[in-house]
Parts: sequence; structure tokens; C-alpha cells
Amino acid sequence: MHMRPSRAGSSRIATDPAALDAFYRQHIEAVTRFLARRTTDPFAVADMTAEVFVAAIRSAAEFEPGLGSERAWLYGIARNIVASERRRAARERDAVSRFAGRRLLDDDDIGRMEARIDAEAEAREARAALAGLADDERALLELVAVDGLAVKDAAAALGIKPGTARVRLHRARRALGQQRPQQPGVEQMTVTTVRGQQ
Amino acid sequence: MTSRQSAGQLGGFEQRLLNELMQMIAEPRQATAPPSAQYGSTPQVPAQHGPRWQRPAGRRRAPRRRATAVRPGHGRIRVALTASLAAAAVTAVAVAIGVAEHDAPAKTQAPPETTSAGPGFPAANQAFYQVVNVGAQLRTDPGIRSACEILWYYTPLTGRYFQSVAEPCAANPQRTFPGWAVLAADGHGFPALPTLSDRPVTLLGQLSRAADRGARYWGVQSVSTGRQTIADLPLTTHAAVMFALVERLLEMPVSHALRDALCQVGGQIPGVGVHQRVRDIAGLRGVTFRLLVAATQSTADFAWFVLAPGSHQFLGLGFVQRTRDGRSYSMTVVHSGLVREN
Repeated sequence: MHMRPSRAGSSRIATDPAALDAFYRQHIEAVTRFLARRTTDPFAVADMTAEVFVAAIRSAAEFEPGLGSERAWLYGIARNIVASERRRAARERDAVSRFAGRRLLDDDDIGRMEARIDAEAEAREARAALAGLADDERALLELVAVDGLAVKDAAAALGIKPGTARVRLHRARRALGQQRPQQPGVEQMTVTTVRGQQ
Repeated sequence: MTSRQSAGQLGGFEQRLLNELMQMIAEPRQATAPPSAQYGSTPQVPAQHGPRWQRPAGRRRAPRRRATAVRPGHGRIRVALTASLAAAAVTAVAVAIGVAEHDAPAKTQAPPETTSAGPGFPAANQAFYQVVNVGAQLRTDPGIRSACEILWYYTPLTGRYFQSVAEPCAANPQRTFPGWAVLAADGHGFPALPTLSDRPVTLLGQLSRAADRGARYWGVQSVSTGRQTIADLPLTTHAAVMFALVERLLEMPVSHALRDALCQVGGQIPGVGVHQRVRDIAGLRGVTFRLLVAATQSTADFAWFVLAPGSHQFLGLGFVQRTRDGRSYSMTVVHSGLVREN
């Protein structure tokens, strides 16, 4: 369930420990799962989880509740971090700065993180099934179908207008329908979720 | 949402992360403008908390070089290796290549007058020593070959001197100093301590620039033991050189502030994992910083060092190479302290 954000509340996470505590507890699970759907490395999940919240704190003043929910905002940040992480990995891991959330992991945490990653296996398969779509369509469908955002929030996370998102979603759904015979299970779940959001 | 979180409790990692975030917002904001993390599809590099590891503009990574285990020159032996990993190597290699003790600079020391390393830098007339027990083991030869060595660190504390003593290491340092001849020195063991900042963000930049000098400059490109060269340890990446420098510096009797900063920097190095409850091959248990040095589909080489919980005093280090014979190496600090130099 998404709480509607209050701009004052979200902007206070950079200065108010109580606000940060509430914000963090509300979203840590969703953010971690979002990232676990995109990587199978528990250390990378830890790193990126930390980076998402650090980035959120640093840019809290820029949060615009009218554009979407807090969760959509966080997912937008997380998407960027995942993308930069992939570029970073492809380029050279050891030449770039990081928050290094992995240093906060102990053995128990790694086990829990791996269990969480395992739990998201189906979602990763769903994401893989979207690989044939155009990038913009796939990004939108991922947020809606796999990550469970409303279309408006997904549009906000991607920085596009809701109307554009709906058109794009329609195109994605149609393209996905043409792939249905190849990935019946995954595709059925995806299309059902997409329809449910609309 | 898990039942634990629904009850307001967070897991270990989640709680520690929250604690760090709380600490972050309690700290004064940095002067740099925060990066934009608003909605949008433009990928962004996220903001960083605390020290950032950003390579200075215009600097290049040190070129990769193949390791050379031993490189004699000018009457000294320069053993390439990470930190004290070289200690045992020096002795054996010195004999192997015919370098006698008189070829190395001789030092005369008074007996230890202190029994533990202090929190600050040694004074100009002091030297810091470590009595260490080094061990090497092969998977195909389970017996551990060990030796006792003494490492000396002199003002201005940029060089490292090695001394061989009778084995095994005696617990009482008085009995482990039969002589004070120094066998060899490594002129660039680590950056000069007085130049280092205890602000993590500054220290990170300093060590990053130091690592730009490359593995060979700091002598971290291979690992040897008292009997033989273990491996050409590929500590040649920028991250690996930083890891080795952090480890070496943590061996020093540095200030608490610098020690804390080094721990923070060490945890920031990509590829380094910090583990709280790990017992290494030498039986050391403490806060372990572990670096995955190299990996293939079926093998992985790790280097690590262990700090005492709480005080973060250096306890030892190790290296394992998953080659066919499974070489591993460990070094534990038996004793350390300051002595007055005559």
C-alpha cells in the first residue's frame, strides 16, 4: 500500500531523524525487493539499497509529491542506480566510488538477502520475458507489471507524462501479446498485472 | 513486509544501515551540492555518504605489471608483497640469493621498553616493532611451515625493516631479540604517516592518489613466505593496492582517529567485504576485511586482515590462493610495541 507523501514529511528525512526513521521503515522492504528483482548478488543489493536511501536523503528537497508517490520516487532513484551500477560493472568496478552497504552485512544478513533474492526469482523471469520489448516500453512495463506501480507512478519514475505512459503501455502490451506463445506463464502474469493496474 | 518489520523491528543489515543514515543526517552537510535524484529517466550517480572514492581528475590507473617476487639491488632486498606478508620471505630469499646481513643497513636497538603500541606516532627516537608468526600451508602438504620474524618501522615511518629471529616466536619479546641486525628494508612500504589526514574523505583521496603509484612502488605485487614465493599475487588493481596500503597503515601505532578513518576507507574499497564473525586460517577472530583478489569460474583468491573488535588493533592477515596445491599464508602478531633507538 502506498501512503500519499507529504512534501514536508519527505523533505524532512534529510534533517529529522524521526521522519527518516518512518520513511526508511516504510520503504526499506520495497526497495530491497526492487533491487533483488534486478540482481542476484546480495552484496550488490546491499550496496545499492544503501545508495538509494543516501540519494533520497540528499535530494529530499527536490521530491515533488504531485508527480507521484514516495515509492515511485524511490524506484526512480533505484532504477538509475541499477543502471549506473551496470555501467560501472561493465566499465571497471574498482575505479568508482560507492557507499559500500556490503560492509554492513554479516553472515545472517547475507543469508536473508539470498532468501529474498530467491523469492524474487519469478519476478526476474518476468523481467527476462520482457527483454524483447523496446527499452522504453520494457522499462514502463517492468515498473507496472513487475514492481507493482500504478501507471501514473511509473510514469513519474520514468519522467514521462501519464498519457504517454498509457500509450506506451498499450504498445508494450500488444507487443507482448505477440510473444505470448513463447512465454505463456510469465506473459500471462504480466498481462494480468498490467490490466489490473489500469 | 516481513512480520519482524511489521512489528517495527529491522533485520541486522537494515538496522545498521538505518543507524548509518541517522548518523549521516546528524553530520554537517558537505559543501558540495547534492546530486539531483528527482524523477526522470536520466541515469544518475547516487550521492555518497561520508568518504567518496573518486579518482582525481586527470590521473590514470597504475599500469598493470607482472609481479617479480624478489628484486635485489643496492645491497638491499626489496621483497614485493602485501604488507608484512613479505617479512618471512626476506629472510629466506636473502639466503637464497646470497645477500648477507652485512649487505643490509645495520641498526642497534635497546630492549623493548614498552609492551604495547601506543595510540600515537612513535617519536623521532623510537621505533615500532611487531613480532609476528608467519605460516604457510599447502593443501597437498598439510603441515604448516612457520617462522618468527620481527618487523621494524622507523621514523619517518615510510620504510619497513625485517629481522629474522629464532622460531618459534616467544611470547616474551625479551627472549625474541637475540640481535638487532636488520636484514633488509623496503623503502616505500606505505605513505608517510604525518601527511595523512584522519578525515575519511580526505584520507580516501590521499590513498587513492598513493595507489596510483602502482603495486610495485609500494611493494605489494607478490606474496612470499620464508621458504618460497607463494604466488605472484595480483594485487595490481587500484583497489587491491589501496587495500594493501590500508592494511599496512593499520599495522602502525596510528592515532585512534586515523585508525577509524582507515577502517572507513577500507570498507569503501570496491570488492572489500567486512565481516564481523569470521575465524581465519590462523584462528584469528575479529573484524575481518576481505578482498577478493582474483577469481575464475572455479577458483578464488582472497587476501584479508583481521582487527580486534572494539579497539581495531591489527591482529594479523592472510592470503589464500585456490591453485591446485591450495597455497595459503597467514601472519599473526605475537607482540608489538615501541622501543627507544640508540
